[in-house]
Amino acid sequence: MKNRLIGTAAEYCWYAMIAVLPITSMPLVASLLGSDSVASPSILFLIAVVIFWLMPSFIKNKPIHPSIFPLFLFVMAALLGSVISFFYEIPAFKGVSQYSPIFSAFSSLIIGFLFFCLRQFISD
Amino acid sequence: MENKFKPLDILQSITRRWWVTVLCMVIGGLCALLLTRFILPVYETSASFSVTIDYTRTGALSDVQEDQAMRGIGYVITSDEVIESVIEEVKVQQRDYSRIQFEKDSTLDREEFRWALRYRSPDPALAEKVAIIWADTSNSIIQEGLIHAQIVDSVTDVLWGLEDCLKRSTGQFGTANLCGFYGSQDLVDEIVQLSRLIHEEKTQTRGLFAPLAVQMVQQPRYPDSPVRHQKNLLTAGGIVAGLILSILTQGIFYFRGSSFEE
Repeated sequence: MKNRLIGTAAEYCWYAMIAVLPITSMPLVASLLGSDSVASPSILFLIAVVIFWLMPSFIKNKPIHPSIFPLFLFVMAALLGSVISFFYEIPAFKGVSQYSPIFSAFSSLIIGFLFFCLRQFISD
Repeated sequence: MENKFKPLDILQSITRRWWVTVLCMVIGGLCALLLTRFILPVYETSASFSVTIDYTRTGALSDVQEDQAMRGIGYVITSDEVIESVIEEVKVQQRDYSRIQFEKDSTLDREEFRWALRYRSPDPALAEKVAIIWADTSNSIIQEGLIHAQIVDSVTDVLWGLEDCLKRSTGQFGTANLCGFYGSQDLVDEIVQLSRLIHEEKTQTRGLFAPLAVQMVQQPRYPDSPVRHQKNLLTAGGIVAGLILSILTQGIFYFRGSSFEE
């Protein structure tokens, strides 16, 4: 019963997430995430689905299609590249912190990765 | 049937060899710590100039004209006159200081109606000193240029008045109105003299014009903490790099040792 309820809630969250995708920016989300570069309300539904459905599926050892691998490698490569950039000399630009764009870009990448993961799990 | 894999199996495989992960992280952290001996932290300090235009004197300006006025300030801040002066002054205390070093460590950014000059150095005291000298030199040359621009404006007004006198003296009133000059030749001489003065003053405006007002709104401060190459952050970066490499390596070993579930 509980699993069915979670499954139904996750399904509706998925539909809501797709439905609000055209809304690309929302002040409430921007203030919650501390960034206005990616502030789609879909992220809120994504977080809900990830917590209540994706994580339990992962813990239950549900199999997933290996097409997730290239994206996972890309995420790892991006993270490794970002970390290596800490050691480089990067010129100053308009007083912008050189770390915040990395965190902002990486959080965008993680959101994209989770969308893809979720799609793969759901299709499987 | 499609090939599939179970992510939890990979995670369990990694956690079974947890010591490999920990070892990679420790090695990564130690390597980064070693690198911090050679990669020095970078300190940054900045000064800002606010630029305003007196539109009551210029009238409405186009975007191009406003842009040109703003660029004029930037050209002065990065002019040879300013930079050479900064280098000479820094060289008094630091003999090996060069223009190449200045150009490598300095940046000038335009932010709307603001110019921000920044200077970076592994030595916070040097960063502060160079930025102060650069900002002060730029400020004094800009203010001097603006004073000359104001002189040009005022003398130009006088010149126009004299030209008007000369025009009127050749009209129906004859030599009756020569604005206090004895003869039209005196008036012409005065016009020539003022024209020369305007020309001389214009060369000292450095391309600035009188309706501009430039104010240093932010003085360079002593940088308390580095903006790049912080020791803790580099070490954390090394640890993360070690973690990623260990995950990737163990992932490869996992897939070499087992096939996907059929």
